[in-house]
Amino acid sequence: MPPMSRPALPGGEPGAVRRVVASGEAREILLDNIGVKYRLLTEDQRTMKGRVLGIFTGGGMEAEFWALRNLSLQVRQGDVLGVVGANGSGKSTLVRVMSRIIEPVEGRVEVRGSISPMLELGGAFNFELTGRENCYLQGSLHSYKHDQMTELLPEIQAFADIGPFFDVPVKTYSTGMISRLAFAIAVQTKPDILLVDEVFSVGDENFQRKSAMRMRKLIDEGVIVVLVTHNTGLIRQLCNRAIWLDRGALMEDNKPNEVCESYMRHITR
Amino acid sequence: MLQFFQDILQHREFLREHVLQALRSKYRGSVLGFAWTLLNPLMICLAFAFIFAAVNNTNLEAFLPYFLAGYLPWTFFVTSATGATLSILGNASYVNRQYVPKGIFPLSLVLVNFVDLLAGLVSFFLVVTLVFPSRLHAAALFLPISLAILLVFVVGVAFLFATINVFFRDFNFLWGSISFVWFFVVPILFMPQNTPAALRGLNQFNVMYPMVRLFQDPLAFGVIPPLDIIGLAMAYAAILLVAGSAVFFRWQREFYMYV
Repeated sequence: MPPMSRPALPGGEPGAVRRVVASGEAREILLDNIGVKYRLLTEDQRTMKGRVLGIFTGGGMEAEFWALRNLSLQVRQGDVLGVVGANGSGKSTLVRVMSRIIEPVEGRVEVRGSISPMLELGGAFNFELTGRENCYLQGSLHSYKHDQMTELLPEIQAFADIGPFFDVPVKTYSTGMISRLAFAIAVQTKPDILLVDEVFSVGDENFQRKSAMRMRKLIDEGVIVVLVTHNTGLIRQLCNRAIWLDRGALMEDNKPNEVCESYMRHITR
Repeated sequence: MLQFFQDILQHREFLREHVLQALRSKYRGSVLGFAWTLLNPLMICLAFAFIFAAVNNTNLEAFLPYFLAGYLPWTFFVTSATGATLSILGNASYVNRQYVPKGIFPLSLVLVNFVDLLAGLVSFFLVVTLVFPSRLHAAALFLPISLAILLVFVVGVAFLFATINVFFRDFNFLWGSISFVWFFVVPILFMPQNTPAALRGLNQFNVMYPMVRLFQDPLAFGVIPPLDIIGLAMAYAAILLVAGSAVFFRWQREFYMYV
């Protein structure tokens, strides 16, 4: 990533996402009082027909809910952050905000460093294309030119270890294979920040061990890792910091052991 | 707004890969591959030649170049606009899973169709050179300008339609009907002088009228389009590009709730 030449956006503008990439600069994710809203839409509210009819039937009202609200968080270089919380607590939304997929309607996001997001059930793939072709597409998102990606490809292929499936369309893959490929691309393209959302649950024992080892190595190299998982054991083992989310609010930000314990106490209560 | 285009420019490597992969997978698995792009307009030529010569007794030498010169840009416009309505939903796996400037998806689709348009023009020149050599005009050199104006226009439409269809998923059905009717009121199947009286007044409001003229004038009549037609087409293109990208830019941050 070349450093960006345009001047920084004015701070404090709602929803502004600032991404500053400069080599040698400390990596950081800064969330300042963010809020993310979802609309709960019925099928009718997604169509023109439904909208027009809704005027007469009064069905046009949208329910909204805040997936995250008033959340501030700073993730610094050297942090390996575990995120725990019940289903629907906002963990995945948090990861999506960090990776700029969602712009919050409130607050400010600042990210320093290149990001590899690995969201649930694999990466951003075009399912009609082969694994190899998807590698080129993913590579181009990480600023790798076609030739550079060709050089990187053997490593990715070896790490994913999906055999002949590498050259067939991704739609024929099992969930495990998709995760393997996504993880292989994410780690081999050398991001500054790695966001991992529940991807270890689908790999087999062997791959889980291999990817945990690989994550350790990245952590040692100074990559910021944010790990979302229901496996509190994994968080205690890999992370040096953890947060607990509940219904879109930050409940605790502490050492992994303490956070996992309060979370477990809360859900078994 | 400038930021919108800057962001796309910074991800041009992805745009390039996306376009190339789309082209590759479009023709993969077909025996003739890329030749289909050339063959398709030829087949249309044959079909229309048959209909108009056998059934309608039209002078083919005058009509066929005229028809193709309007039909090719029209097809580019309609396939791009129609494809754009599904470009965000169809790329949901990216929109939901990784940061990509979302404008890349309609843009990539337009560029793929633009390649088809260029191939169509190649087969146009093939047919004309082989069958009606007297119909080759030096005015065809004006074509790059026509293509540039049309491309800008269609990109604007694509941004607009991509946005609308995210929020109203039945928009593409409505558009299917509109575009079908629209085709018959643009002078493509009939010569301008044969325009039905009822439609003649419509041409000045018909956005696609100056667009097809940009191609019909140089390709079929051997003249550079009049300045008012060029000016009008440029104005439409500029308006659509600004409006389309402004709408897309404003509403793309809400796509995640709908995709």
